[in-house]
Amino acid sequence: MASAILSVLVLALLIGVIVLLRWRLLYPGFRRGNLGRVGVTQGQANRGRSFGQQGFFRFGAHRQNHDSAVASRISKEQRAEAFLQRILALTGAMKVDGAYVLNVGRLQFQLRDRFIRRLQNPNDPKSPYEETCFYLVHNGMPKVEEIATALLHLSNNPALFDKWALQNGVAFKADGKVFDRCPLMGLR
Amino acid sequence: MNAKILTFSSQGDTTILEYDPATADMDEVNRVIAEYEAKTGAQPFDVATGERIEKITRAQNEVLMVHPIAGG
Repeated sequence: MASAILSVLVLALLIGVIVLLRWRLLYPGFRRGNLGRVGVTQGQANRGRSFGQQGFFRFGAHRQNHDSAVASRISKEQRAEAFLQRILALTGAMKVDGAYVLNVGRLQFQLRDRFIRRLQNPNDPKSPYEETCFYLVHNGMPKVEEIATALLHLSNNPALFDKWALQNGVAFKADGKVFDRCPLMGLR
Repeated sequence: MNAKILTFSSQGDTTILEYDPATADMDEVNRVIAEYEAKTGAQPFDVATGERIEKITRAQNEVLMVHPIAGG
């Protein structure tokens, strides 16, 4: 008799846990904070890095959960690739022989993984060129998002190439100003 | 439709902030983004045009915070 009661209790507990898990997976929006102060809604639950904002807001929220059930089946690499395609369309860059080719005025940049070549005259195969490596100061993002970031930087400010090439290890923001709070500074 | 501010991170593209552009306090949005820039060096780009923007307005529906790059 006692074992039967125990079995029923364990079964009820299991069902409760399953219901709770399903509820948390399907309705994460219920866990959002109240961001009404500025009409701001937070993204998904803040499982990511927090940058220590006060009260109503924290950075590092994950992708919005509008279709979380679908989104969870799409890997971050697939999303990153899709975003890169958007950036390619925006900047007019193309993928050619494994390199991402961006034309800015008369210059041509050829980007590969953490490596950029700048051609002065892309129509001339003997044209002089310069090369530099690059890296994101906040590492760990998918490679194609690093490429997308560099494409956006260069399409807006091609002179950044010279800064990257001449000042190794110094991080530059998109506007060309030095970012002196680089977390990787001193590690290279 | 809500506006989004995104960034690239180790998690892939990540929503930092989402708000209703019709009702949001844009000064507050820009203050929050300025704090984010101060901490990470990331600067806002309009995803519709691919151009860097100084200030986020109600006209932008999708903004990407683009992180700094170093050479070497």
